[in-house]
Amino acid sequence: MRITTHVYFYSIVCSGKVKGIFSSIDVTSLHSSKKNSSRYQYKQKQFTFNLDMDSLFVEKYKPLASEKIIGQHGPKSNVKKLTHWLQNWESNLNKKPGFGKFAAEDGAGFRAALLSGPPGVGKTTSATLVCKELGYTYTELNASDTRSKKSLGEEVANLLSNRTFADVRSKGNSVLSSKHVLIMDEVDGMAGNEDRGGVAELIKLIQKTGMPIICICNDRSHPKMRSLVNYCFDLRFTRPRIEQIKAHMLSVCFKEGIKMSGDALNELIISSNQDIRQVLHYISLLATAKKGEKVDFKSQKVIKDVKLGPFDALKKLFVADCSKPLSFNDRSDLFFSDYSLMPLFVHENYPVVQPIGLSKSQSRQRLDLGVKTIQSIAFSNLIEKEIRSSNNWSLLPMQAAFSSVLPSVYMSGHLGGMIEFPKMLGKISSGNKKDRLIQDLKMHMSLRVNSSKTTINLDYIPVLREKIYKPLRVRGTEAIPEIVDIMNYYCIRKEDLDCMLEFLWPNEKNPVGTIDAKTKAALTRQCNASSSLLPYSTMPGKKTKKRKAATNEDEFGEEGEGEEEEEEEEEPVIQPKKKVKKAATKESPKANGTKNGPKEKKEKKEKDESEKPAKGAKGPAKGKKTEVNGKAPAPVTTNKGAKRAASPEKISPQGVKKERKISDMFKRMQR
Amino acid sequence: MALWCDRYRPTSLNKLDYNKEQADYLKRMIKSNDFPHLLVYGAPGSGKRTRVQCILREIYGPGVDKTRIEHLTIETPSNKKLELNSIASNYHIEVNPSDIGIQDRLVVQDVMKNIAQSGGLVDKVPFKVIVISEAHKLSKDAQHSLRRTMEKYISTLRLIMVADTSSTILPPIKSRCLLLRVAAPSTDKISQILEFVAKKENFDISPSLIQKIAKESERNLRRALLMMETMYINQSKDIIKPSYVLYIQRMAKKMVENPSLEKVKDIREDFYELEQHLIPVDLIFKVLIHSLLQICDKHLRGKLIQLASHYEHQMRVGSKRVLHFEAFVAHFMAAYQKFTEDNMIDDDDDLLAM
Repeated sequence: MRITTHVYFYSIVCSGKVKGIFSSIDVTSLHSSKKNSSRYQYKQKQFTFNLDMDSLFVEKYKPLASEKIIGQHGPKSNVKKLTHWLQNWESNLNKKPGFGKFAAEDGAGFRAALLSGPPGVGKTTSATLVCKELGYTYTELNASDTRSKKSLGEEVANLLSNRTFADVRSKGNSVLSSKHVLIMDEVDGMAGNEDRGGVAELIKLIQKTGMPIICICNDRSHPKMRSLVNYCFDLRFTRPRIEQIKAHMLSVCFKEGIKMSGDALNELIISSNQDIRQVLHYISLLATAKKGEKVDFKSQKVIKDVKLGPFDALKKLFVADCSKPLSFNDRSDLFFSDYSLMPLFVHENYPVVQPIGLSKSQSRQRLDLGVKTIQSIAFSNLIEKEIRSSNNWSLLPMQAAFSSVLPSVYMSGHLGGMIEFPKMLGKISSGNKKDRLIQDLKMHMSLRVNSSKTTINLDYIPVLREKIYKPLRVRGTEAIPEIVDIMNYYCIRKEDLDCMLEFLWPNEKNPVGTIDAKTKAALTRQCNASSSLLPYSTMPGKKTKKRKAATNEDEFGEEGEGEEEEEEEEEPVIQPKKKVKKAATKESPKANGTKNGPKEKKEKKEKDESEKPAKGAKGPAKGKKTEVNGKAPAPVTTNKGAKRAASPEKISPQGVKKERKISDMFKRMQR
Repeated sequence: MALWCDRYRPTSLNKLDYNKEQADYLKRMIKSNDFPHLLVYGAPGSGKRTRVQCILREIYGPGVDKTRIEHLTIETPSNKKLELNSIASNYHIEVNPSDIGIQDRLVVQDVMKNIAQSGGLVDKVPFKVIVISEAHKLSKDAQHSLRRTMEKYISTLRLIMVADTSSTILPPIKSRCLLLRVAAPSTDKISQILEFVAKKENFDISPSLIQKIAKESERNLRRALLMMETMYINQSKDIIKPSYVLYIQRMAKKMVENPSLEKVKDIREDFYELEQHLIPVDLIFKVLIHSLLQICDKHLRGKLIQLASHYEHQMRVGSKRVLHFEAFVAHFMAAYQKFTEDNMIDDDDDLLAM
């Protein structure tokens, strides 16, 4: 038995990471940095010390030819494609690879290939076998080597000037080895400080490489891989079908004399997620059982390892299956499939469940059950708050009980509709966006109106919106000076008007709707012309984009870019300008709707422009900023330390109390 | 061209329309050239800010009206940078720490200390003023760190805190301040002011309608003025109710028409809509309960209030508002149905224990 555990342990250690080194060690040891290679040699010694390589099924039954890789027989299989690509690599070197949809089927022109797929389906094996069969020598670099920008550069530079012994013998030292491949295994593992800049360097290498590079990763959609994918011939490995694996495994079992039923094997394969390597490990473990004994698999235990998505978990939770009633633990396990998402799923979908034993007409009973359910869910939220705010994760099972177990007991039945993804998250984030809009608006208006966000939202926006758009609707272009005046008073811009429109209720008419396009265009022009008096900075990068989009949408994008640029140049200072403004408003008495309004505006603008350079030199706001910045962190830390010391005593009695309360609650609910 | 409520805002303590006695006190206090920290509190729309601005003008002269927006950058211990906008003149600065949320303590610790240390600028007045708006939203941490600042820098700094309610302000802070309660104007006073403004703006409006506005505004002068202006803009002869009120009233009607679980889900969508419009939940509850109280039988009213208070409390303790709101809606629907069909009212004792 002791040996078997050794075997198992060893298999884990060397299955993925070290294995590659053994096969490539002949090349690696020739050129790679001394430190690395000596480490591997050491490992090699240690392992070969007391173990026979062949006792490991993963090694023993490793395919020796590319056709024997499970699931790679077909003419369109990845292995065939890879072979084809490697064969023609040299001749296709000058071709240009297409992009996305236009990429060549056979990957012609790509200097590198990217094999992606789940673990244990034979990506590395495929790569090495294809290389071997085509007579290429290869160097494999994987996650156990450091692959930072620097080391990668060195390594490969070494490699490029490297020759195999065969080359040296045949050609002397004139030509580089043409038959050499670099295999970059586990490229998605290039992370952290060690491998900094690795991916970028790899891409650089690929662009100018003189030899084929094969990259291997698990998750090609990972953000780190995004840039790499564009430079590689994309080969996606999928999990082989169960039958394909099963056939091979049966033959393995036969050869090893393990008696195993087909069903058990099926379950084994499913539970290991069609990972061939994993299945082999399991079988090698079983092989150590007494020879000739029939192996019984505890099927349930295996199946549990399969991870359910929230949709499946929810279905399982609510759909009552009389033959297999779920226990408390089963239900709470379903909650733990994703404890942050499941409560949301339960909440989103409990109203569509038709509880068992109730007909459609018994809506009242159903409502009563629903009340119990939502009560329990609401209560679970209190627990969740406690968990998140005081990091009291030991309460998580409690949350499971209230957020998933109890609701599923109350409402178990069948689903009367589609399972929907919780809308709450989206609603929360769009609510936050609205909140930011109001915050901006508040900031813009803050010189004139000093109220809370709620006041601005509830009281100001509706009135202001009407005050601005009503005259436009009634009097058209004539009303524009008046409106610009209002906008100037409150320091708001055209964008803020758009923001106000976002707060329309569904039953309200869009106040812009009936305004004709001409008036709209005139308003925009006026706004752009006179908005040089803003007391706040208009953030250039992000906002201009939005603004452009907005103007295009409203069909009055006649304004040139010149004006926009002009706006960006301004300094967020108002002092001298405001004086001018005030003077101007005093000059023109109340009734500003007269026609000399715009003229005045233009004059004013000219004045402002002449003042501009002087203002630019001042730039007072920024100086202040840095000052605050510099002093910031020092006092914070000391105070925080003190607080921390004080806080645990405060929290713990509360936590205990809460726990007791909750457990009481729980008992009552169960009754 | 400003809105009426801004155009007719009084600019000096002499011109205030109500709480005149208080204004006199303030004037005398300022004349004596020194005053303690102030905590100005009162319902929204009762004129707190107006008074603060008047006080500042009384102290520093017209210079305080030349304000500018300043961006302050605050760095958290975890090196995250937070932006805070403040409004400043040469003499005072106004910050709203609650804009930053739970990190408001940093505003007090860094920004205010910095300002305090830089001291006053004017010869006549030896101190600067920091106005803290929405002080009732200050977190406990922030208030605690305020305590020391208030004492230490008393020679160079005066705080004027503006809050909607004094109940969330910690007692030690209160004891360091002069409390000024700005009572909301009476309905009659509001009518007077409305009349005055209407006359100035040549808006022909009947006294009865003015009375109605004053009543409807719930003693919120700003709201009353804005309501009147809305009517002026739209030339309407009756009060236009805010959309959110109508929306919530419709929601209340939905709740009592043949309750079912589907209805619950429907109302959940309505609640999301309200949240999107940033209607505060306490307001939602208030309007909803008011409209439900009018609809439902008087025997059920007690139950309704019990449920509402229970779930609103839960909502404040919890983190996801919609859950608790939905629980309230569902629970009330069930109770309502039970009452109409069986003429029975549950007494959910466990609710109170929870």
